[in-house]
Amino acid sequence: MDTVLLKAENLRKTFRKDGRNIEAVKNVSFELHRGECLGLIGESGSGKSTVANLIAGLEKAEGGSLQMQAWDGSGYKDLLGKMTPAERRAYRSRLQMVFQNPRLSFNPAMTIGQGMEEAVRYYTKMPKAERQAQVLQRLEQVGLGPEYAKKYSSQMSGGECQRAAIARALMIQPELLICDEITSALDVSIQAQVMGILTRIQREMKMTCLFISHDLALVSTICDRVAVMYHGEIVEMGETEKIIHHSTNDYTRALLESVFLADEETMNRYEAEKRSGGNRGRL
Amino acid sequence: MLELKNVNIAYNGTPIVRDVSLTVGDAQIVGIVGESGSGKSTLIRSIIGLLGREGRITSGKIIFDGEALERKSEKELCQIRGSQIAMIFQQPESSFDPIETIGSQFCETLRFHQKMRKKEAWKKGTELLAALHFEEPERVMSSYPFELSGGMCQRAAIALGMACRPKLLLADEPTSALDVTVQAHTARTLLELRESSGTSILMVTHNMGVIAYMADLVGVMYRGRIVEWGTREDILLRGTHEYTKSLIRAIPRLGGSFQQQEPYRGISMENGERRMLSETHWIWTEK
Repeated sequence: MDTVLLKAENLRKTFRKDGRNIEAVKNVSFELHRGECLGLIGESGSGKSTVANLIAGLEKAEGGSLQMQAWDGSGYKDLLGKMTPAERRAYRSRLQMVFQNPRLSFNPAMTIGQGMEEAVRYYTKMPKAERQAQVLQRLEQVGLGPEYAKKYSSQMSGGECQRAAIARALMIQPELLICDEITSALDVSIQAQVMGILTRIQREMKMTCLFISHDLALVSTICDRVAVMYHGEIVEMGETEKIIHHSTNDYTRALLESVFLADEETMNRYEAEKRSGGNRGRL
Repeated sequence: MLELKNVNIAYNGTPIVRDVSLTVGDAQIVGIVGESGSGKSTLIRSIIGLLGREGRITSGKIIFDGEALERKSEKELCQIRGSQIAMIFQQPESSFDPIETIGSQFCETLRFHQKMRKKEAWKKGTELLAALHFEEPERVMSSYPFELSGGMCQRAAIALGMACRPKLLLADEPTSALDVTVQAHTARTLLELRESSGTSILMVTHNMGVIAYMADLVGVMYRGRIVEWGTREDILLRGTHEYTKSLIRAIPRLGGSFQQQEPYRGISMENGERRMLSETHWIWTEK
């Protein structure tokens, strides 16, 4: 079986704002291999979330193709092309998304357990008892006890809520998990906890993952490969190690240099910048 | 220059800040780190009386330039805010009135505190923006806050804060809402300011990288209390309190990876004491 789960080719998307056309995504192409975690980084407005939304079908692409491997590996189907509603649903059920704001991921009037069951109810005919057992099992996977199934999102902290959102995404055992800035709203210690859980799950389940963040250091902790986006284009893509240490792209390097690590080099950096005339104005 | 002595703050009777003492020296940058809810924002807001109706300093002293700020009336604080102590916030737009141009807000500040004439104030505002490396200061002056990008808006807020050359700048998460690339630029702007005008900065952030880049001294806050204090080297390289250690473990490192770990869940010790580890470095520990 071919190891490529998803092939994006020349994806394009333009938004209209204030009477002008803004090309959010121009000719983005990449392949997602089964079991790998691909990072998508870039500053706000670079188009990374739009790419995620195009893949998830939350935005309609204007051009390009999005080939997803058939369930049994027998070939590829263009998600942007013509499909019957049943087909669309079948393909759609193979990917799940987790968003930045954990509280908005759940209906405030439903318990977490009900919210998690909904995903399964929509896509499968799983009996109720099995669904409920599945909820508890998924919650346990993200380190939440069974009592959380009865809570409402408003009764949980941001970190707990985000872990529940991950648990819900796992309910239908997706082949592809898209994480869009899932820790940006969390404190650094909670971020570490959520990332630890996600890293373990991704490795254990060998899940294909598209991980979007503006934080290069964070992306490097979980991703096998990284794609750097700038003004709607992927300007560089490669193995994480290579991007961090041997990037050949000016923008990637500027992005790397703008990360403040909590190390001695950062402590001495201002003095070094003054000696060398500084990094001002490069971006 | 600024000294806090045993400050306790409560909201509606619930203690938020417990027994905090610290000093900020001339031209010093002091960073306070800690997670949301640790009381760090409350602490710096209390200095210029921005606690709102429900917050109250229940005991302790806040001494700025020899004067007790916690006793000042709102009217007296108004004279100090913006002229001797300025503040910038996490959301850059919150430093500005959305329906006035940046320029007219410079004029308002300078006319109020320094009795400048409008033309003079406008000129001064343009100069301040130019000093912060704005390429078209005139255009920024006649822009509304929402017409600027987040990074530009925050740097304009810094320029406005610096209009009357305050001795102290309070910064509440000044770079947290900004993109990494812009964050580096803004942090650098603050360091340049300290150098050019000798302003002291008391800064609250959860970003240890920004602390490493900017701060001279660091206080780690947990549940309303400073649990560790030292130079940035003391804290980042030799952090000793369990909470500080867990914060440092939580920082993403290039090429590192996260093991599954639980966040620190210690208790906040009422009856602890400071244990000195070196001349600059102490932790809050059991008696």
